[in-house]
Amino acid sequence: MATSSKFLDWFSEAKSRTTLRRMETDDNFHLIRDNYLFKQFSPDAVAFVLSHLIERRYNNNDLIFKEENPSICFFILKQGKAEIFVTPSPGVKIVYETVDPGQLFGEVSVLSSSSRTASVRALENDTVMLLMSTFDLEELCRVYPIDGLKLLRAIAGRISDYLATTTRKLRAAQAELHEIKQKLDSHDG
Amino acid sequence: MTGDQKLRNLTIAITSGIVLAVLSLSVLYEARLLIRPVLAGLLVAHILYPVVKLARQAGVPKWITIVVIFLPMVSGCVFVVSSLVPAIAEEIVAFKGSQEVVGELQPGPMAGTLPDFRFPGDRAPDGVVPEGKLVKRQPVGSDVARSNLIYIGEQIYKTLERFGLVQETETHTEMIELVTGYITEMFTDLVAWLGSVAPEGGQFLLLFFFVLIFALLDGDKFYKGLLSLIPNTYIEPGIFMLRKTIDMWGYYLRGLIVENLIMFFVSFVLLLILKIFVEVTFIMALSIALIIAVTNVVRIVGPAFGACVGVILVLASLDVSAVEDVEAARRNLMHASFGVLCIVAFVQLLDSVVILPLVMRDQVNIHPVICLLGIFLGGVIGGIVGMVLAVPFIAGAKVIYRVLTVEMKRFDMHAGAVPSYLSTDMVGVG
Repeated sequence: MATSSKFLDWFSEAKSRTTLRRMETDDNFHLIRDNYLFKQFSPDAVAFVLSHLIERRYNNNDLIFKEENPSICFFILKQGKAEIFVTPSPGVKIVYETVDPGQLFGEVSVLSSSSRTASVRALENDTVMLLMSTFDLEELCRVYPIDGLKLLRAIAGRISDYLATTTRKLRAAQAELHEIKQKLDSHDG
Repeated sequence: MTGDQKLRNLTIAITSGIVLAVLSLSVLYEARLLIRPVLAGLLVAHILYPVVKLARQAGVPKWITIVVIFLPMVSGCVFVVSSLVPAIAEEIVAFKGSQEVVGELQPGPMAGTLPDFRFPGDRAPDGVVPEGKLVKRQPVGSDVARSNLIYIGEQIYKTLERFGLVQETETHTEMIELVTGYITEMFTDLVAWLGSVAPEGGQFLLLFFFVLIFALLDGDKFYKGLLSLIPNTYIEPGIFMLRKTIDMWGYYLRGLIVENLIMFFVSFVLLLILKIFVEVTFIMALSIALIIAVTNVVRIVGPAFGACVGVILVLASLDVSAVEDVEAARRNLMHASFGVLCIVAFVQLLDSVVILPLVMRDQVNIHPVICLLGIFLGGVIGGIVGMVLAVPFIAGAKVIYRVLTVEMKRFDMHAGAVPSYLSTDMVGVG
């Protein structure tokens, strides 16, 4: 029993080493390996992600996705620049963030199967995106459930970071508002 | 736009549509020899690809999985061919046994005087006796040369006679000869056809296996190749549509396999039960169950064909020269044939009422008329393979239609176009 278990461990390690060696030749390996979402992934799960990525090339000003559309893919910017924005009313554009190479976006709405909360467009010619669809993500979670759990933890961590940042900003804004109010009160007095 | 312009545009659109449809159909028809094996290969690859993918994820190299998949496929083909072809060949020999050309006809007073011979112009089971030939009549009732099918025909005829539905004796002999003639002609045509399509069949198999191996090895690349055809504007709706279609179609095809596997096991068990009452060999039961399951892929037409082939197999299984009591053996054959027909009918009923609704869960419900039309059209374009592929392709088309008309409505299809309000003069806050 112990021998067979040792053999299985050895086999699994050997397989992982072979997978890693094979993956290292892939252009996108480091982009994926260094991403917060896949950092904790097993070599097999990373290989799965690499084999399911779709590469697309965009021109300057091309819309990558539009707010309120269903979320089918999440994107990793491989090359170029993109911006995330919302248009609350015609003629008004609020830019949330400018995306740099290596950054990932659209993952939260894909995982929650909700509509897009913002639009994204390319800011340069030859902007290259790596896409992974919700179908492949579901398959990943089915085939590698432990890695699926790691993915959920990473997303939860990211959302809690966002929440903490937003709360901090809100508190700072509240404090600022309070200060302004006090100044106004003292000025009136 | 004026009314005239609208009408002109509509006319142009309709004409272009018709021309395009006719062109596509002509291209499909002309290229059918190439399309059949390619489509069949892609279809089988689509069904089997999840197995290769699962094995790959478990660390098994693709080529090993492909070899493992191919072995039972090839051995299954060999098994069917080796059990079916000799049986049909024996039956043909048995049919042909009733006609024997004994010599050249010499001119003179002999013509028309010998009752045991047929003369030029006489109707023989093999057609009309040619000029200058003399054919010996085989007495009806001779056990040596007759086929088991003729025997069954006789038994049915006798039963009809008993109920007064047909006239007896002389008409009976003539009738049997006529029927024998037609069936022999049919078999001869079948053998000639098989001979003529053998090289084409070889080409088909070669291309089919080539496409199958290629698609199994590079299925991912094929999928990505399809995606690369979608413009950036529609990439998300495109992926959605493609995956939904592939998945639903995959569920349908795999459901079809599960359904036919269940049918195979049920038929096999029923044939084994039949084995208790009549003499049916184990291999025969296995072959008939396999035929029932395989022919069921072609809806409506398939089961009838399967039943015929099953009965022919049973009838052809008796070697008259090897049994002592030929009559008893043939009675057994008759009962076995009847049993096979009952099993086919029961399995069909079970399929329609229980198996199909359970396995498919009404995923792709195709109207029988559309099904028949599709099978007919498939037969015209792609022969037998076209008939087999017709229903899965109608299912695929229906899935695409459903995805396009229901699921895709959630997308704003102008998502890729930069809206006018995103022009340079907009207010930026960021």
